[in-house]
Amino acid sequence: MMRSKRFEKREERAVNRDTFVQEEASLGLTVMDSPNDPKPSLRLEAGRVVEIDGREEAEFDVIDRYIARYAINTETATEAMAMDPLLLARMLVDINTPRKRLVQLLSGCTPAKLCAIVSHLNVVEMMMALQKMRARRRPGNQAHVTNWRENPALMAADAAEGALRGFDELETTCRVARMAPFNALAILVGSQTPRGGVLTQCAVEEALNLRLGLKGLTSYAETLSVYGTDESMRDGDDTPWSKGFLASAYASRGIKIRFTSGTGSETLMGWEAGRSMLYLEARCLMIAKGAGAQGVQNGSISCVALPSALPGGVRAILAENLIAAALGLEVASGNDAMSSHSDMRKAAKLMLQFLPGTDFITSGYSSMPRQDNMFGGGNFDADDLDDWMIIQRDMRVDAGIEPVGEAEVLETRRRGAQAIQAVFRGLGFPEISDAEVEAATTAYASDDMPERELVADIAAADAFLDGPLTAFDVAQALQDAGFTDIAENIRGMQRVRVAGDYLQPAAILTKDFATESAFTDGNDYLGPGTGFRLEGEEWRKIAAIPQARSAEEMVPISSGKAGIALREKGTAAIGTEPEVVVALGPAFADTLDTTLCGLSHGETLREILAGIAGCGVKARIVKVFATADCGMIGHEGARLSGSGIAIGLQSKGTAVIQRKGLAPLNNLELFAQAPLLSREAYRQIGANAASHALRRPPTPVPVKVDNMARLRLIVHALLMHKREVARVQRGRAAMDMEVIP
Amino acid sequence: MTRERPEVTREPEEADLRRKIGSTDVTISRETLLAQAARAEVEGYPQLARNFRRAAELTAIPNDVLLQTYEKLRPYRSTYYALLALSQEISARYDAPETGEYIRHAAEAYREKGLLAEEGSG
Repeated sequence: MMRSKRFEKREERAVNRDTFVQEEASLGLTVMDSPNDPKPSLRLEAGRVVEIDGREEAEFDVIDRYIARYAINTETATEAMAMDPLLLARMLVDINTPRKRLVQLLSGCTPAKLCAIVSHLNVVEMMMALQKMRARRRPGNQAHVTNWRENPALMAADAAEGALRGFDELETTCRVARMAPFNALAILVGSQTPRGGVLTQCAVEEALNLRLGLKGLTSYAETLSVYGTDESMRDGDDTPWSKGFLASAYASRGIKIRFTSGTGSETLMGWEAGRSMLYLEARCLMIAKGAGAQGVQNGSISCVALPSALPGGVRAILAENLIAAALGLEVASGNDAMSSHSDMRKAAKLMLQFLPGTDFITSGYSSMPRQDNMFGGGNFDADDLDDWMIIQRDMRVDAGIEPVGEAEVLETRRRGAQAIQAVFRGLGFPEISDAEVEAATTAYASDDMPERELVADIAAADAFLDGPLTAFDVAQALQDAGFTDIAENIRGMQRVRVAGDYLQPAAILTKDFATESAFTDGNDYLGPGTGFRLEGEEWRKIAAIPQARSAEEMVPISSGKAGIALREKGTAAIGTEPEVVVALGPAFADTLDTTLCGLSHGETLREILAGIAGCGVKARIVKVFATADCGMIGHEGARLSGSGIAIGLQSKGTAVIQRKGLAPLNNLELFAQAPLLSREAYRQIGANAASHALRRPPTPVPVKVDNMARLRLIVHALLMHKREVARVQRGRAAMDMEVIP
Repeated sequence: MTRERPEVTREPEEADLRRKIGSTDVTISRETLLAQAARAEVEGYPQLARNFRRAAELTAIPNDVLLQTYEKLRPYRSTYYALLALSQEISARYDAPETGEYIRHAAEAYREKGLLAEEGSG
């Protein structure tokens, strides 16, 4: 077959390593609106739900029974089910309909009805709705903290940095399951190092999970997975009732939980029965709601590549976030598992949650490089942090991560590593060496860490789990070693359990252990001027990325390094000789000393003069004060030139060859892209001007090709030009100049 | 209200006790969870309130019983009568009527939907 070289080139793009499949409802390959999805219906008899989405009570499956008994708000069900889905869709977007009213109405809907409503919304409308329906006023974020070697010093350092960067929750897991107690301990100590109140969890099987919580090592869990068909639920070795019981069990110990679900999981397990992914996810969300979970992590989570392979898949993932929020649930909105090979496609998908804001923009931002992510690689990781923070600054959006400088990060990481070292020492665990602390402070990844004795660590972790030590002993060890503030923060994490406020929907803790939840700080968005607005100190912080420099720093006031000194000889007259005038801008070798391509004014001017001299032509240096415009400088030079030929040279290096009689904005040759010029180019500019004076044909000037130069140097160019403009003296005549030897 | 507190001998005892029972000295109480449930009800979160009320009941249940109960509620672990007995035991022994009812609902659903253990096991 004949091939297009452009098609061939595009095939190499990262996005073409992703997989795309056509819809096929019978295989469950439909994200929304499958022909096999039931039509919405609901019937009540004496306050009991006896029909859901076309199924009579006698035919209810386990999930229907659970939803009917626990999830559907019967007080609003009749009203909500009678309403046109289109009207409810419009109410979701309408800034005059408060969140609370919608939660009431949508909590009376069946899964098929919820799907019918969101089906009317395009992604922008879904984002508008999500901005209003998010539970907590302020968006938040969660980070993953793991490392392949399971080095506790590195884990504590990463957790400390995560807390410093403003993550509200940190989640770890294990490569070796028996390391769970140490991993939970390391992120607890690290998380409380720069500030108090960061919630932590360790994702392991439920019994162990609960034991870690009971020891005070963790404060929340999101391991409670549910699925949208009886068969997939059963393959997950649970029922809605067992998961619901677990939710109450955690709450009874003061531990926050959220459920986990997401589009695509049932299809992957082979039990979707031809239903659309979103319909099954709506069922999952109603199980979570019925169980009394305060929230969910959803947004396809680890299955994300499957809906993403289908048309409208990324929209469907946003739709599931929206349904969860509209049911009043906290939403940790995915964006954690690898979703694409393409950075452009990943970022585009991210914007759907990043811009409207969710309770946790990601269900785990990989705070370390991909190789150390024990959740199977993060969609966004340590290498992407700067992109994330710059996009926040671009959009004036708080997506839950704060920019911090390198020095502060290093100090916090060292302190986190030192704190876990003190805990290990104080509690008699295997020694963490000073070398480990230092390596953890500066490490890129766990490859940079000294080896530890894994067998000894595992034995000590086992003993820690089975023994009597709790978070209080950890706090005591920290106190004994002088880490009083961290000790107090760890005690603070135990105390908040007594009040239980952080069991409320979408709860996070401030550094002073105050709860911010849907109850205390609920989202009150009702259009422009309401809800969370990034302003004042918070906006200043997001704007203050370390990469942003002051104008003064970018273009320093002349430091006397112009490499040349010029002296005024007297007012320049119109020449009579066959000369080339080199007309300089007013700031040349004065308040500026370097051109945009990095040549000093001395180097630049000497090359031009050498080029002119090389053709046997005389040069005269003139300084123009009345203008900073390159064309006008050249125009004035040409007016003064005996040959009628002049070179106009701005202080930032932009040059023009001009002839007397041409209009100011006309010219013989223009070198408008100063960053692309060089010594050779300036010499040739001098030679060409001389050639024009001698009426010989000029030679092309060598100019580098760099399409990014304008992008890179536009601010520098502006600042230099401002400096030049500041030296303009209207009405002052041009002066002849001489080089001071 | 005052009561006699022989501080000198009591301090080490408290520390010892804390070691024995883990962090339960700062565990959430039944009353607090009931208060959270009342708050959730007022805020329009009836399901969350129910969960908190069940959690309030579960504060009385020891850790091992808690985990065993979860295990018994998983698919094919228990017979219908075992679940009914569990429901009654939890309800009566720990003053946990809502949890008891929840387990009874599970028993009914499991019986009708085939999620029970074979008779003679569970």
